Amino acid sequence: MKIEGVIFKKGEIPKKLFKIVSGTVRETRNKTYHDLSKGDYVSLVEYLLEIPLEEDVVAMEESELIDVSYDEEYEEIIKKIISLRKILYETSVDLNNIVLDDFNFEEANIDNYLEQIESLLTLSGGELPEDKNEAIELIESIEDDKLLTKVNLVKKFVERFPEEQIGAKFLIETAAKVYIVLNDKYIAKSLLKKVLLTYSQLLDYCYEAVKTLESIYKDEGNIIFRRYSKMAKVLEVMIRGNA
Amino acid sequence: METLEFNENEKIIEKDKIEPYVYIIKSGKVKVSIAGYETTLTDETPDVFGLEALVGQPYTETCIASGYVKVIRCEKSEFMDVYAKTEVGKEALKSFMRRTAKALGWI
Repeated sequence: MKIEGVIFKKGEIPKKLFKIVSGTVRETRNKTYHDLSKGDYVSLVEYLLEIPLEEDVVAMEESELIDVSYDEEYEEIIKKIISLRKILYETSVDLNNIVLDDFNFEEANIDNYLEQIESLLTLSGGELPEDKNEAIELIESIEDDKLLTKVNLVKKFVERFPEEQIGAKFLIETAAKVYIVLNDKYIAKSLLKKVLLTYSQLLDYCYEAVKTLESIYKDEGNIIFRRYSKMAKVLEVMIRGNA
Repeated sequence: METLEFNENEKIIEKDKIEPYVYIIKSGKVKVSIAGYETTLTDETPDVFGLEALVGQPYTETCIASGYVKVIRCEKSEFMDVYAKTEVGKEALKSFMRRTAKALGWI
């Protein structure tokens, strides 16, 4: 059948197992969506376990689905579950042995990306004053309509005054604004990861950065959010332990 | 198809190993660990593990005997011919899905 819109409603227990022939189907669990495509099964978890759906399951575009039975698709379903487990292992983090790679730095050098943005848009907006207090004052005075200028200046500030804790605050605040105002996840994530790299001793700021990363990854439906969720829990315990 | 016996803490299958066997619990309990999530399978359903063998892929969980355990060890063709289309086969799939969904935090 061809369908666009709601396939199964929130609270419904799927009685049929549909396999996607074409199109995109979105299912949502734990407030995180998962887009399914050709070859995937719609609401496989809820169908097999006979449990109600948390949210509507929706065909995002006209999608073709076929009704299949679990016994005909037995081996294919096993493969799908195994692929979920692979994602699970890929996104798990060994909390006793966190390595840099666990933070998912898409670019080996975060600054490269920020520098590219800077040169592409030529929005340097002047130099950062040599005097620390003047630099802080300038950064704090920049309005939201010059956010990329602020990104550049905050980056320079952190490089020039790495011992200043306010640098971590600037990075987090700017990342949040970049995400909300410009909806640029990449810059926002880069700035937040810079907090973890530069200010790893400041647990409160790291916690804030990790929580924000968790929500950004969650918003984009990226299961990597689980890593940050776990890191946040560990940081929370560490912070309480230090209190 | 054969019945095997395991004692407390003996490893039955190990994550990442490729073997051609699926196991059905005949009696006793089996501890399963998958990406930090742990659960226990029992002979009530009866529970099955090692489904990865049906698609020639490495095991994705480690299963260890919790006390004295008896299991039926089947090869792919034996499981597919005898069990796949029965309640045991359906429950095996449900249990495999349930463990995955729990480990993912979906349920």
